Amino acid sequence: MEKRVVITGLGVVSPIGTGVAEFWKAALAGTSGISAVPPFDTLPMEAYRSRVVGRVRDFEPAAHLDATQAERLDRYAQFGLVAAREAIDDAALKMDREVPHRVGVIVGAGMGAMTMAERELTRLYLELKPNRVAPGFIPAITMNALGGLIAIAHGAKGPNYTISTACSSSAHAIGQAMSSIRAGQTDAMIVVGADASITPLVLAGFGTLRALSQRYNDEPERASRPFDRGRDGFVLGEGAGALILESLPHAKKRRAKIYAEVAGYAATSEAYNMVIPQEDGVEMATTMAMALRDARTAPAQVDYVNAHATSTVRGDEVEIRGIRRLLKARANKVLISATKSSIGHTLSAAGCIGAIATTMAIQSDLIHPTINYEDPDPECRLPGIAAKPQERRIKVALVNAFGFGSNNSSLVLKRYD
Amino acid sequence: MTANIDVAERLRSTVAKELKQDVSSITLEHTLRGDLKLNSLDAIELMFRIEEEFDLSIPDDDMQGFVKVGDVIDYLQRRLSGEPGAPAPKAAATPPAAAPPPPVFKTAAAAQRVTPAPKAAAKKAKPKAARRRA
Repeated sequence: MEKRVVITGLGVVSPIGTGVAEFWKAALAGTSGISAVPPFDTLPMEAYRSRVVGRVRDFEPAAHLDATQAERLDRYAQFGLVAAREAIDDAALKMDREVPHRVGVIVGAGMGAMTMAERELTRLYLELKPNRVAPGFIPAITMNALGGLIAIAHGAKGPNYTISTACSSSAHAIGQAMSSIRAGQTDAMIVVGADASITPLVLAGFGTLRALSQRYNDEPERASRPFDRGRDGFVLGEGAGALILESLPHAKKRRAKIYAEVAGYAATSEAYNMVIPQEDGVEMATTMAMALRDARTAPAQVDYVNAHATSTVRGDEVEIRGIRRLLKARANKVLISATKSSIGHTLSAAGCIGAIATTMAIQSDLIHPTINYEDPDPECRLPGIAAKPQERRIKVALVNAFGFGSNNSSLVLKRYD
Repeated sequence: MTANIDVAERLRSTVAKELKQDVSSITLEHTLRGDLKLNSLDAIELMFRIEEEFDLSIPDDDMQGFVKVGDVIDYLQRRLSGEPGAPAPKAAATPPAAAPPPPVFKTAAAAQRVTPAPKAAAKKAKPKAARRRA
């Protein structure tokens, strides 16, 4: 029989706090982590369409990492290492008591080492010194760099790979980790999603794509407003989320604290458009339905949806359409929240951070608010969306993450008891 | 000789900066790889820093001779004084018979070889701004 898979450890680096306790407290309090983008050297900032970002402030690499890693590693990898270590400590996973080849690492990484890539490219063209490119550049920009760093840091010798599906990367990472444990390939998996792409080039690129909020440059905290009528694009965020997944027997054997069960997962492609979801929401509904089927759970049992909801006009609307289509009458009963309202869109970290918020909701019977939900867009209005925290004992939750490249993923998390 | 002391001090302080350690903890007898625990990437970064500090270019063959901090100092003193050194045999051609302490770059033999100082490249204003993390 397939093994059940449970979550036993969490770790996070986010615009509203480093560490799960701080993150969750701030999320429940409706704190906004959105701020004005700091100047990019001599670039004309006023030419940027969007000048608000979900930046991780007060992150001192040297406080968490050794001096070399603090100086040399790309910011996304630093976030990922810090989140992974918190999750491993939280799970009390002791590698010296594990079979190293049965503990793997799956990373969701969308943009990778963009900070370093831009810096090195700029330097190369300005200084014209090919012999001065950082020797660590290539090992840093290969998309699986963080996976390797985590394995080396903790001695995890099991399968180690990176999933890169833009904004759904780390939801897929959780799903694939679950599959690996279910199949008996591994006992435990360290799952991490990380992104740190608030760079001159990336912010400009998302801007010209017209994906970002432009209307709230003077009021950053109001810029990320999923489901609200005044939303006008997402806010570029950064951060990392990490989860320890393991088989139920393995968790029980080592008497681990069990947060929740990862009960189902689905991955699909809309095969439709690189950046826009199919308007009718059918594909999103299908993905959620497949994840629920995988969890042997009926749509009518869903209590909470941690929505992908990035605060784009089209995306939020289509997701709600999909939820209505799938849950029918139940759509008026489920609670829904958008973690991105507080932290912006952390791209490939979003799946893991959404799963962490959901796990904490299951643990605490509290759903964090969707901040700035002031004037509900009729296209998105559902009774379960609120700008205040809500109380509910959650047995079944969906976590959605959809990504550029026409790809969708849904996870089903369940209360474990 | 004050010039020599100067080179030694500058080198020790460059190494200390690179390793983020106090300069007093860097001695001439320290081996780069063993005592100072530089891996191959660290060693290249250190060479970048030394090249910038002393405004010269160190060919890969020369780096192979650097085992101890003192080796680098000797090398820099020779290079900076413009003193011609006896060319050493190519490292690959004549591997040393007796195993020397583990060098950072393959063999100590190449250390003896002195290459002419490169023409000082026209110093351009460094685009410091571009290096800062966004």
